[in-house]
Amino acid sequence: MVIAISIQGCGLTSAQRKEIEIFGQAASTLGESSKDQFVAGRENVIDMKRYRLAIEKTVLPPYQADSGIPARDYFFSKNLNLDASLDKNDIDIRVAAVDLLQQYGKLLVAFTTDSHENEIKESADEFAKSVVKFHHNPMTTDEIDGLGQIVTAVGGILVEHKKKEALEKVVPKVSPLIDKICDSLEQDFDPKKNGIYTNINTVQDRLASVAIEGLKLPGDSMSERLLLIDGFALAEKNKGILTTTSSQILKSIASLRKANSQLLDVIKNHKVGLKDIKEFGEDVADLSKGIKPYISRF
Amino acid sequence: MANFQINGELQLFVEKLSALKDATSVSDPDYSALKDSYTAASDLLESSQEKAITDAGIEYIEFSKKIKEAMLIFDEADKKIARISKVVKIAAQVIDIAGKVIAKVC
Repeated sequence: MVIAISIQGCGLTSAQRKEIEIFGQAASTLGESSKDQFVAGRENVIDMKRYRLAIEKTVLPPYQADSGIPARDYFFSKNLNLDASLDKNDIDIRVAAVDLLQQYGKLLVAFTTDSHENEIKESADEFAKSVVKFHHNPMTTDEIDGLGQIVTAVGGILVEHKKKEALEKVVPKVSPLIDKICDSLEQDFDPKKNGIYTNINTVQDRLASVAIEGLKLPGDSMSERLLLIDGFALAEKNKGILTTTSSQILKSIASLRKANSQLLDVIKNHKVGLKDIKEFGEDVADLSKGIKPYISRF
Repeated sequence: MANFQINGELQLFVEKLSALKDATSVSDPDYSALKDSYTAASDLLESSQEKAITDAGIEYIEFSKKIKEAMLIFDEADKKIARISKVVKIAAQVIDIAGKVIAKVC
């Protein structure tokens, strides 16, 4: 029993589980919302660029053969760069990273909560059944049940120990990476920094500017006026999206940073609260239930 | 850092030009010059953003690579955990066989 209790001390505490859950949720939420914004941001930029080129009545300049670029690529990159600074490759890289952030958060929570209890209990039952079938088995039914409980408890303790070992390796290694991705995401979602959101802001401002200019002048057909109005409305809509989502995402980044720091602290410093002691007491009670039949025997 | 400051100042400059252009009448003699300045500054800002966004992609690639490595540690741990219940199962099988052998001998 003493051995079992000392191994139990090496398992996950409820404070650690709680921090892992908070971290997992924060990582998952941020990963999902960032992914959506990266993809939607590029689509919106393409839409706004289309309107702007139409309002500006863009005419392609003569092709310069000495540029060494094929004509189609030349026009696309020099004159019709529809996705502005949000190249597909740049967005794909970001989507892949935040997708992994989301997966990591989910994996961390699943790894901690999926205790493999059923699997161990099945094995322990099988173990107890084998003991029953043992020829000239001297044990009583209570003792055999107790043996099953001991095997389940010790198996569970060993599993917890292995999980904690893995977390102690992974969390300190990943923690600086989380801080770094928070920096990168802040740069992309803070409209004051030079990233994705500032680019969307530049594109929306340019569209609004050309639309306002066109609307200041009289004339044009009704369809051209509609184009100007739609262009202006699209720019305004994007400006609104940037303002709302930026503050939400920046808030999520702050949450993830906090959760990351607390998780690292709780994993490194083995903090144990009152709840952990209570949980520990419950585990020990389960174990002593299994040991009881043997105590009465001696 | 210096590059970031320049881009930040350029962004502010573009925003101010944009607001001034919106507020100026198209018949104003300076409107055309204002429009050209705004367009040039906005183009410059956009190309500086393109470079910054592409450069920042390296950080995301590095993150993806390293977090994938870290996640492999969980796979290893899962394999070890699976071994624990396997050991209990094997012990049960051994006892079962031993019981049968003893029954035959006795």
